[in-house]
Order: sequence, then C-alpha cells, then structure tokens
Amino acid sequence: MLGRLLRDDRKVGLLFLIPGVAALLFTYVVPLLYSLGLSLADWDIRRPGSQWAFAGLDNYLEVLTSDAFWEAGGRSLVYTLVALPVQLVLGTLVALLLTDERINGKLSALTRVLLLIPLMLPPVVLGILWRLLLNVNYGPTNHLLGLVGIEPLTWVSAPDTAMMAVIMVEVISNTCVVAMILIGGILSLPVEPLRAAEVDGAGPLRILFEIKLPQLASYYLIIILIRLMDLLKTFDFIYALTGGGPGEATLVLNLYIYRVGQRFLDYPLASAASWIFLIILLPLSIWLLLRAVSSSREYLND
Amino acid sequence: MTDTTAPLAAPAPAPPVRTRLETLALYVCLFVLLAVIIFPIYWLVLNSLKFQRDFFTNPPVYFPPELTLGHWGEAMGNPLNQRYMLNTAVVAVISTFTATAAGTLCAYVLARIRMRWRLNGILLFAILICRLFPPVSLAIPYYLLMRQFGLLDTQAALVIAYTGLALPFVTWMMLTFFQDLPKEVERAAMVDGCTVVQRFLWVVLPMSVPAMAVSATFVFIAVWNELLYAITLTTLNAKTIPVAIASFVGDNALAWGPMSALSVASFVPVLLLALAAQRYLIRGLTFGAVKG
Repeated sequence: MLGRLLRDDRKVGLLFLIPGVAALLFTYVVPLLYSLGLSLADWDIRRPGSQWAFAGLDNYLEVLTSDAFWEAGGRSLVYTLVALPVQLVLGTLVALLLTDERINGKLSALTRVLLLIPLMLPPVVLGILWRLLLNVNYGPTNHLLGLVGIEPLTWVSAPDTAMMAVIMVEVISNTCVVAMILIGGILSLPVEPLRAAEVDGAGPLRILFEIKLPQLASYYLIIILIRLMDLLKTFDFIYALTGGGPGEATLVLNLYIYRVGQRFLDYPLASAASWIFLIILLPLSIWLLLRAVSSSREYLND
Repeated sequence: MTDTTAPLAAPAPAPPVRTRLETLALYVCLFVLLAVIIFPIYWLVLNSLKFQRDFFTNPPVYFPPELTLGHWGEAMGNPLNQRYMLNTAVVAVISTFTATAAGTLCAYVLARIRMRWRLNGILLFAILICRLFPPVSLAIPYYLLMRQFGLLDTQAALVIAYTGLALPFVTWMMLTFFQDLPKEVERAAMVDGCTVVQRFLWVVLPMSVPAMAVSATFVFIAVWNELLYAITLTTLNAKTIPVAIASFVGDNALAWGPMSALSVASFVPVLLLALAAQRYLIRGLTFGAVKG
C-alpha cells in the first residue's frame, strides 16, 4: 500500500506540496478574504459588541473621495518615480567606477564588499541613523555642508524638504543594490568585443553606450522590477525616519494605510484602501509575472 | 595639481596627463563613495560610545577625547532588551527553517513533476502574485485574525506571518535553482528504481544545500530586520529588536546613546552573516532571475 503510494510521482508530489500550500492558504488566501469581507463591512472595533454589518461599497467610496488617500498615493508616486531613475543612474556610475581598470583592483574589491553594508542594514536602523545624521542643530550633515559654504538645510524637520530627504536616504542605501547587481553583469561581459572596439578607436563613451549598456539590458530589467516592487512596499525606514511626518509630508500609501488601521483603528476603511492599492498594482504585477516566469520546461515524469 | 611636472619631462606627453587626471578623478569618486558608505556607520558606532555631554553640541564632536561603554551597558543590560533579542533570534531561526523547508519541497515538485490540472503553472503564478503584495495590506487582517485566535503578542504569530512572508521568495529562488540543475543524475536514479522521495533525499538534497543556505540567509536577514508585522502583532512578550529600536523614536527621542547601541547590536549578527556568505548573496540578489 505504502509502497504503491511512494511509486506514484504525482501523489508524492502532492504530499510535498502540502506544507507550502497550507502556509500560503493561511497566510495569504484566508487573510485576504477576511480583509475583503472587512472592506465591505461597517464595523467599529472601538464600540463594544459591534458586529459586522454589510455596507456595500461605502468604504471604497469613502476612500476614493477622500483627499488624504489621493495625496498619499501622489506621494508614493513621487517617491517611486524620483528614487528609481536616480538610483539607476548612480548605481550604473558606481558599478562602472568599481570595475574600472585604472583603479587598484584590491581597493575596488574591498569597496564591493563594503557595498553590502547599506544593503544589510536593518531598515529601522537606517531610519534612526539618518535621523541622527540629518538633525538640524546637532547633526554632522549640516555642519559638513557648512564647511563647504552651504546653508543649513531643514531635511526631515520641515514639510517642504522632508520628502526630498527621505528620497535621498532611499537612494543612498539602495544605489548599492543596483551597483552590486550591475557589477556582476559587467564582470560577466565578454572582453573581446570591448578590446576590438578599442582597437578600432571607439571612445569610452561610445563603448559604454553602444556595447556595454545594451548587453546589460536583461540586468536592468530585473533591477527595475525588483526595485519597483520594493519601492512600492517601503514602510520600515520611513516609519523610523519620519513616521510619515512632519504633518503628512512623507505619508506614502503604505504608511497612510497603517495609520488609518493601527492608529485610528478604522479597520474597514484601511482594508478598502489596501484593496484599492492592490487593484492599482495589479497591471504592474501581471506584466512583471509575464516577464519573470520562464516558459519552456520539461518534467521528469513525462 | 602634481601633474604639472609631467609636460616638462617630455614634449608630447599630453595623453598621460589626461589619463592621470582621469585616474585622479576616479579616485576622488571612489573616496566620496567610501565616505558615504563608511561615515554613517562610524557615526552610529561613535554615538553608541559617546558621553552624553558630547551629543548636543554644535559643531558635532567627530573625535571625542573619551569614550564610554555606559550606553551599551544600559541597552544590553536591560532585561527587556535581552528578551527582545532572544525573541528576535528564536522567531528568525524557526521561520527561516519552516520557510526554507516548505519552499524547497514546493519548488522541487513544481520544477520536476508535471502535476494534474496544470497545477504547476497555477501554483507558480499564485506564489509569484503573493510576492508582490505590500505587507501592509496583510498586516490588518493578520492583527484581527491573531486577536481572534488568541495569538497576539506570541512568537507563534510572528513565525506564521514570517513563514508566509518568506515562502514565495524561497520557492521562487529554489525553483530557478532546480530548473538549472541537470536532470541526468535523477534520470539515472529513476532507471535504477528510486522513488521520488529517495531521489529527493539522496540525490537532489545534497546538491541543493548551498542554494538552500543562500535563500535561508536572505530569509533570516529579512526576518531579523522586519518591523511592520512585529509592530502590529506584538506589544511586550514577543516584541522584537526592530520594534524596540523604533520605539525610541516616540518615547525616548533624545536617548541617542542607548538607541545607537541597540542599533549596532542588532546590525552585528546580520553583518557577520552577510560577510560570511557575501560571495553567494550577490547572485541571490536577483532572485536567481539572471543567469550568469
């Protein structure tokens, strides 16, 4: 009996899938259905004995007509669309710098290892750290800028500069990710076409734009996908750096949803907001999946 | 600067001067890059060792004449922080283990066995979709469900949430690994009459240990650093170190010393792990999506 079961690849396969599928069921399917139900309900956790009552699309309408939601969405958009291109360009420059033959090999190898530091830094620590560095009165950033004649900046303590400061911290910490992936790509490029182009008298810029960068296209695609997903998920470091403030200056969508839910305890409204967020993300996600899933495959039991 | 001597030496050394200036410029860039990476860490470590009197000064004190371990004593001697540290370690180890085990099993089946009803494609799609969800959309249902089951503020709640968080990542990474792994050895084992279980345990698993270690490292670091679920699901008993650090922001905004000490303490294990595995991590960064 047991022997027969073990000989059947598909049945054993099902057994193998059980833990993973069960985990997905309990950590995604059930909570998402729960959140969908909640988003359609009228329920106030602060009123004792309050029961779920079907409210139709009321919560969705409330979210869609509230300025706060759209402002948070706008901030998420600005944050993502500014940070992504800047870190792509800077990451490319850092990658080119650290693979340049004119720089001492040992030094650039050491720097490549050091790039791991911003990557591994806990996001909370990143937020705390920049809180210290950007402190208007006692932080070293303003003092060091003052040494080269730049007036003190308000950074995260004033609404009109806070978003810029948050984007700057994000760019500094994640340029390293971009650079590390690109360094891997550059080092794996074939050397012959580069040498041939040099012999033919092509300038370094032409070699860069016409030979190196086109060959790195698949790396850029992956980097853009990964960074885009992460930027749209960002919560931790902004929470520690500004908490969404001052006022609401850095309240991106993730922090807005968190604030509506955990601080104002309006769970139905927060659920509706997160479903709207998910639906907006859906086209992007599907495009991403079509790019990421490789199609050709063969199986052992065919 | 120093390049002015070069033209005197020979009549036509224009290119060398340019090259040397370029090299100099490159080194300046490298220096700036190193400063941007190292200075913040130096500042954090320094803040954890400064005397209180050196914090609120203008200009800031870059090289204090005297250092103290007092903040470290305050941060690490606090029994609550010790407990949070232990919580973080326990939760990270258990959820790394469960996610890596379940994800590897899933990925193996998805890569090697054609299941009925196009289950391979459907499951893969579902797993990838899960990876794209912003955690904040799950935090609220998690909170309310855990409350209903009496799991709030327990390590179990965090282990469940983190296993779900990490599972899609592990499955995706191991799937690309298994797809690249040559199938010949397994085919030979099949001809010899080995069952799936035997093939998996004796043939595949020994070859997969390095890949599993890499994805486990990523999961461990992500879980160790995670804030959103921890801050939502725990209040005291199961609180983790990131929550403890984040709470300095509200309650103790001026306790820079202990805050920095705790931050450094939470970073050290992750950094050691990352340095030990650094050769493999860079490849894993792309989720195995780029072959190279």
